Amino acid sequence: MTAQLDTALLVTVLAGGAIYLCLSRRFLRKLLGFLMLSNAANLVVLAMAGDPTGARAPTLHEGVDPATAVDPVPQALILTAIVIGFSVAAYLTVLLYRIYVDSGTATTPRLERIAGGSDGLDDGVIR
Amino acid sequence: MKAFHVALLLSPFLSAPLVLALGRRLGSRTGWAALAAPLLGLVSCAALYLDPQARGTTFSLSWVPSLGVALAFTADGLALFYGLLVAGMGLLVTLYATHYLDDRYGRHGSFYFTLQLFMGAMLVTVFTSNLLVLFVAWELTGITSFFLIGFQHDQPKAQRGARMALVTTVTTGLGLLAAIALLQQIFGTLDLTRILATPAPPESRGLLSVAFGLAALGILGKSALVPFHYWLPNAMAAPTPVSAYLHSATMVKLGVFLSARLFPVFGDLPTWGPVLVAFGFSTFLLGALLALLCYDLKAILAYTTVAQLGLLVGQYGWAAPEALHFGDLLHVLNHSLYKACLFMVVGIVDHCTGTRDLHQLGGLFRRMPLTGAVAMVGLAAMAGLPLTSGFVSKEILLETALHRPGMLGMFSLASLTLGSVLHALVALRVGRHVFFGKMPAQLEESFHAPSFGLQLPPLFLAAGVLLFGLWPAGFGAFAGSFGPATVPHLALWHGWTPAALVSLGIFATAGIAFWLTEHRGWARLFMPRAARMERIFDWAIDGIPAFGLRFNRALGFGRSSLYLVFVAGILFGSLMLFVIVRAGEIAALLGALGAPAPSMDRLLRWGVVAIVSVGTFLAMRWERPIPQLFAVSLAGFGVAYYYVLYRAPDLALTQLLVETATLLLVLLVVVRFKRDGADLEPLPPRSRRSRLARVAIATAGGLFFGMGVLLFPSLPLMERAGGYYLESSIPLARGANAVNTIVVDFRGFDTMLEITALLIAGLGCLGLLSRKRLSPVARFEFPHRDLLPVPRDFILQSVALGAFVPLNLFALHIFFRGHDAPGGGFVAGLITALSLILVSFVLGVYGFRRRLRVMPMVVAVLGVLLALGVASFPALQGLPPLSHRHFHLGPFPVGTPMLFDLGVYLAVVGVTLKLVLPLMKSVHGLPAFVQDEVANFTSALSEPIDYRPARPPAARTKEVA
Repeated sequence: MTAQLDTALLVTVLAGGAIYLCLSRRFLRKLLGFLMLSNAANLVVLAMAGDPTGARAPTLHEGVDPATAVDPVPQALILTAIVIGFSVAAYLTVLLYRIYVDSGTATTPRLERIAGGSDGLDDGVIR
Repeated sequence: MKAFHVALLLSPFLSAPLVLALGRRLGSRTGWAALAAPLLGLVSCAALYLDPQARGTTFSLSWVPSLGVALAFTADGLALFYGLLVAGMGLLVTLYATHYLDDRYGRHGSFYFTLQLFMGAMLVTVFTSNLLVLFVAWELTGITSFFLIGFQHDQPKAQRGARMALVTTVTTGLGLLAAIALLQQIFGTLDLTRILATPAPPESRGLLSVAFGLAALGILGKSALVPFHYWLPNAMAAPTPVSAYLHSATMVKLGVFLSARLFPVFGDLPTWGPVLVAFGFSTFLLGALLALLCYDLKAILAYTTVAQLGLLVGQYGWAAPEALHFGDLLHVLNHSLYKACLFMVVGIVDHCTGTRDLHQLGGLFRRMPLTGAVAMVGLAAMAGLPLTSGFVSKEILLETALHRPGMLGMFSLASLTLGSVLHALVALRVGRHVFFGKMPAQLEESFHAPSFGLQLPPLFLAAGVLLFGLWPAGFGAFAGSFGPATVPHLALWHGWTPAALVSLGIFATAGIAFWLTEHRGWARLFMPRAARMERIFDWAIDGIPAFGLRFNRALGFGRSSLYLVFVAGILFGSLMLFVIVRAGEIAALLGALGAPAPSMDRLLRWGVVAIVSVGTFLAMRWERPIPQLFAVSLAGFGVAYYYVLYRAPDLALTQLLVETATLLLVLLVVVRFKRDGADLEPLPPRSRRSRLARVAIATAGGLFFGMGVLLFPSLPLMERAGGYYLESSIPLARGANAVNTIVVDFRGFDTMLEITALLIAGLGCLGLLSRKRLSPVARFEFPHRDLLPVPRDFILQSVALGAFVPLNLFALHIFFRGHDAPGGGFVAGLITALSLILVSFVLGVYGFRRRLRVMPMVVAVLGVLLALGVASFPALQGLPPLSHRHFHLGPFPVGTPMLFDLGVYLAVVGVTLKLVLPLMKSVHGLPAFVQDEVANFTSALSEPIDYRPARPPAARTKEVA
């Protein structure tokens, strides 16, 4: 397990940095933080495959023992996660851009002021 | 029942799309095409009716065998009766609608489409002998009725009525679902024929009572009985043919149908009689009373329908098992005939005068004698006058109630008598004030005579009312032919029986009451506020968001940063808990640090960790967006290399390309921010506490993830998940690359959902990037030339255009080798998309779009459809969906997984292009859609999202309000 100390450190740095950026008040930094956070999450899943040292990629050829290859399931999961992460990142990018265009600001304090009112909630009645 | 019977019964489902397609071409004549389906259904029912051998036999198709759900259809007497009613009424109503829905109405195709779906759902509901199928069809009638009531969806009344009907019937329908689940528990089957044939085990009587209570909820809701009666009058916003069909003859009768269906199951419960009689007969009284207080003709009919439904359900409360399916069916038939007839008459009156208000009508008999005569017959049946079917029905009811001892009998006889007086009074009032008296001058101007075709369907119905009224023996014999009951002989006159005396009393009282009200004035009658039950519904519906708002305020979630406190608190708390619970293991772990032997591999991995950390720190340190973006990309590309070291070449390839595409997207937004100076918008300085909190939360979050990485692989639960896939990748999926075979073959369903999600995200982005033109005045004049700066750099141009072909050859290579080596449709799709975007950089978006004739969104949708088609193709051969098939196309081996991958490829190309290109235009202040690129989609014309119209938006909203 300590064989994956490097992965643990990498994830700690990436996730910590990502959360730090997400906590920023600027849209762009939030967005960048989100991108890094999805990378960190993918790495967590990857680490579940175990230490890859000495193993083969899960691409098989004649005469290769499948037991020597790394676990392909986390990889397949991450492959899907990368795609979904891309879609969400794209949506977030465009959403923040649209908010910027509509409100004229790219920071949250001013956005909350513009969204107005004491607590920013609307009156909640379906129209 | 044979297959062709079922096929004919299901014909509405087949003809519905056809009618929809024809709608655009045929307009108001679409109804003629829609006549085929009810006709076929009627033929099927008639064939079943005339063939006694087919009675009671079942036709079954397996659907979900593991749950015991089968598309089973049984034609017993009850089903057959309702089938004839639904199909026959469907025919008449469609005929009526062809004349009623003239060119003033739009969207004829979708009207008949929904009507046919409704008809099909009704037929399935009555004919199916599987309870779950019954429930599905039951709810389908509710959903289609929502669209039919809300057909004129620009009117607030229609919106409200449709919403109310849907919410009420669907919510109460859940009671039915629960009842079905309980019945399945009690009887161990969903098959209705078996449930009806076996007596319930005595130990489950309690459970049976609960099931009955839940089923009763469904019955009350669907048939608009007290306390759910409010939805039916509000559903009158529907076009009149819909009211005549759904709200008098068929859908609301489902509660009655279900009572009859489940009578053998619940009939001997002690609660059965009291519940049905109490709810049924109080509805009967209340409905009749409320009908008297209304002025709108359709509301009057709606309330009398509510009343009659109460009666029809209530009489099951004291029905004797041996008399079942004679009297009840006779009443249903009588009510359907005269009520649908009256609805159609009201539709004609509305059509010809433009009003349904009792005060504004009068003297219409002279102007439309045929409709007037038909209405008189219908009203006479409603009042229960002799020589109509209404009289026969009422005599039987009175006779039964008089012979029913005890409280229930007393209550039902009293309410029956009183309700009948009220019905007669309503009939007199409507007849007098609509058809006789003086015609208001205003009406003289607007009146136009109805066409004969419009009057034909109610004429049929009125003829039926008279026929059965004049020939009671035939009426009784027909109704009795559906059930096992012995049919008593019915005659026009049975002598001075107690029932006849009561009838006489009813007419006398009604006559006197009418005379009194005529002289004392109707004006004193009005609907009291307390009777408007829909107020409670509105209160509940509006209450939900109001409650949510109050709840939110109470929690103090107004400021978005408070959410963070919660999330961070939970994160940190669970971390602490984890550390405490697993303190020993963590200590052991930390003690064993530095143990693994150094190898080249590890060294490289530590190197990557260093690079990614540098990227992360730079991203946190730097302020200017473009350097920061590159720092993030450095980390991202580092992760890609890390994937290589983790023996995940597929991931590395994908990560590289996705990182590039994301970089591009974010870069576009950054460019816009920089141009406006929004990237360095001044911010108030943070307090020391806030800075510390930020660092603390980030550290805690990072540690949480890192700890997970260290500990998860050591948990006893964790074992190698992919052994099976590795071993069977080549023998089963014929691919050497296990990751790819998992994605496109073993777990193809996930991938299908994944590209669907991609498509949805793409559509969502388009929605955000486009804004419809507000008005012709505020039109955005966009110049027909390339507004985006096109670089005139020769080297860039040559490289971009020169690289296009090799890049796509490489994509082709990656695509085909995907099954055996790293690669596949997703990676290939990204390469193609990026190469196209590169070209668009040097040609300019418009220049590029002029050369690329295909619309990216079409490509994406085609891709998803291809994947879906490939996935469902094996089902045609009786295999589970997504089973792979391999075959040879000439010398090349082709497998469905490859076609599936092709779908992924197309979806990725389409969505990525559609994300980048409109964003590229938008950040330069241009509309996301413009004329020359979407010549076929004129309605999709948009203006730039940051384009401000001449008038400020604030003034605009005020004006609308």
